[in-house]
Amino acid sequence: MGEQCECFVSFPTDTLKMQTAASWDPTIIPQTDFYLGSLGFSAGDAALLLHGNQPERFQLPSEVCVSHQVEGTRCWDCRYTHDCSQLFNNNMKSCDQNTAMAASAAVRTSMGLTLRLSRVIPDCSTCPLYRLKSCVNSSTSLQRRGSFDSFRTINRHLQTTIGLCGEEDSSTAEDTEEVVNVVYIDRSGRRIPVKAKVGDNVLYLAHKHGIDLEGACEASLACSTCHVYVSDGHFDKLPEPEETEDDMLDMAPMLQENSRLGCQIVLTPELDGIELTLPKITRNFYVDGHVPKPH
Amino acid sequence: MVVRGKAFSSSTCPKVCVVGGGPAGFYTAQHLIKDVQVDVYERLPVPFGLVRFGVAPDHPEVKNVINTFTQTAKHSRCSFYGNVNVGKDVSVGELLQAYHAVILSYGAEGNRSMGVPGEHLAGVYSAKDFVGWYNGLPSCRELNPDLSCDTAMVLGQGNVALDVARILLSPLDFLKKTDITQPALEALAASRVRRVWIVGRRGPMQVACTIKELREMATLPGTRPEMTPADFEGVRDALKDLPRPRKRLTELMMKTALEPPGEKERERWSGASRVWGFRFFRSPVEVLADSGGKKVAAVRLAVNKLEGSGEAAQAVCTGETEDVPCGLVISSIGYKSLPIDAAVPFDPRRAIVPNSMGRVQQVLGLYCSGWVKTGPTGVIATTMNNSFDTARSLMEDLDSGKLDVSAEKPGSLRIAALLEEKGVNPVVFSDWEKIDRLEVSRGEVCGKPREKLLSVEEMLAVARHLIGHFDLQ
Repeated sequence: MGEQCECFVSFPTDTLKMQTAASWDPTIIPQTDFYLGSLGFSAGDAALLLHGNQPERFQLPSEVCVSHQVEGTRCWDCRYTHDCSQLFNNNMKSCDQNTAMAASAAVRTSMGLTLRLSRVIPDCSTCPLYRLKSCVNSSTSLQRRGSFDSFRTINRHLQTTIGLCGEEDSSTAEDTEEVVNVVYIDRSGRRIPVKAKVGDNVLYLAHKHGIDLEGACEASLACSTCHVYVSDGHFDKLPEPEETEDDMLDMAPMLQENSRLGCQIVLTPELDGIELTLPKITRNFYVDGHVPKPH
Repeated sequence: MVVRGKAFSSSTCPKVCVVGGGPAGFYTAQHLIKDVQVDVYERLPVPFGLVRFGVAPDHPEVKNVINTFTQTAKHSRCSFYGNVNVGKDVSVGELLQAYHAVILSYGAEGNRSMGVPGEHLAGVYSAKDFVGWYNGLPSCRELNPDLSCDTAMVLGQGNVALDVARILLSPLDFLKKTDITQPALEALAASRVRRVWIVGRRGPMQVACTIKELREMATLPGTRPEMTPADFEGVRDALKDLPRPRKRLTELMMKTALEPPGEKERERWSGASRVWGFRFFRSPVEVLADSGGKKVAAVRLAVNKLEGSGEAAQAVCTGETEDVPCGLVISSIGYKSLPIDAAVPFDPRRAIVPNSMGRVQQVLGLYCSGWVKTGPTGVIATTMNNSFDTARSLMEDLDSGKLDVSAEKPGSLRIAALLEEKGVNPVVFSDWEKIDRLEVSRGEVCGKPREKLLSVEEMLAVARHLIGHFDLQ
């Protein structure tokens, strides 16, 4: 029987199955925190995804998008377009979840069919996880995150596959040396850890991982939209800003001692563990008494 | 998408429209297209507003944001409709009926007037019009400013004032490679303006410009600065208490005004045929005409003193005045929003649409973002935050049910029908791309990033493929 449940559950790699809302089998219990895309989802299907320990419900929109986006990443190029044949980013290989994704991606590129999923507000009342009190993505925790966040759609582009196998890829020594661990803290306070490489640019890295850091002038030191706060231990390890960067920083709202422009930060090994906080968007806009801002 | 347990197929996706295709409109759309269908209506056939018509031609990197806006416009849930005059071709009321929500992002197309006698003499222009003229805004095509005088006075000390001064004094070689319009380039080539005063009511610590623009003036080839040292009395002592942006700006101003020139500067200044300078503590009280009575010959300035300090300092008239001869006056004291439609509440004193966090209080489903929401100040980053904020308010209202999206709305289908009845043909984004390609190819011929089309008629003709396609081989 298929209970109309709205939780999309993950499966161990060897039991990948297609699950749609209509044919959800509540006896399948999630074994691992493994992210799955499954074959045969039709436009409009509802599906549940368990990622980490968080079930998230997806409603497939009625159009098909050709892209490679996977959990936690978002291709900057096809964020708004549908034509991106860029391959899955190798940087993700060292993460457990992403191991599987890397495997999926390899299969995906040969499959040619991708679906774009929109995350929706979960309705957990029918979910076995919820009933078993195993679900951490309950509506209370969602409310804490703020309605804006819960309502935000994350564009995910999954290529559907059959029979993924786990790729137990261990990083090579070279890879480990090159890895720089970065944590972005987005505007709602959520921590997003990212495994980056030496030489990565903080702005473009953020884009790759779906973090809402704007770069209006495309890293040409002509705006302040990529303004970030740099963690204490790492701020002093950055090279001094050029005069032009300081000039642009002067225009950033809520400037702090540890402010820098993300487009000017290039990762080095000594920046391992750096945390970059996106300034909160203030909600105080008023004309009377407002200090004139330049334009 | 699913909202509160209900599934939406794309036909029942909430539909929202944005009035104004500039930075505010596009940034607001950017944050909404994740969940709703957004239609952007723009009066001109071409998008991007002040990014195209306000940002100075020699600041091309600032215009890179157009790429972000282009991505938004080409998103499947976004549609651009240019050549649609909201308030005339279609009313805000009609938009509110056709869409679940309407966001006003139409900016500030007017300007604050000086309110002094002689303001309408020949040779006196608003900075908005002067900038529109050199940037190819169709309504400013016929400005034909007279640049045959030797001294120009710019009133106001914000970035727009500095842009105007810089364009008036820039070496032609620099301007030739920008997207400044051909008529403006020719006029500036023949210009006899050699001196530009940038005049403000208050002192050095109250200027509204930013350091990047000041640096550009200070290092502008062929020019040298000339300022009144007495205007800087007391400034050095006040420096230490200033917040960083103001401190760095003031330090640079003092260096430019007071320090004896270093080797490099002396070299540059010795060959300089053009002069510029800030004049502080001066307010215009009258524009004086020449003997013919029709054209400006001088400006009468009242001398002020400051009461209070910092950003809140007030200029108080001392009773003294001075007359400064000049043949060109450009008033750069602020843009101003205008009311768009009788159905939309408007605060004439502050010249904004009254709102709370982007929600127009008296009208459910009506929102605003950008300068029409907060007043005409701020750089692109400010407008970005402002627009995201409004988008957030709208999404909160969708989420909470305050904005009811359960009923289907016709959206652009209804509006298209209304426009057709009036004989109005919207310009869609791919039409703009034809205009864009033509401008770029015409620019290539003369080493410019683009040669802008200067009239709405020409833009429409290219959009309809009636002309221009032969240029693209």
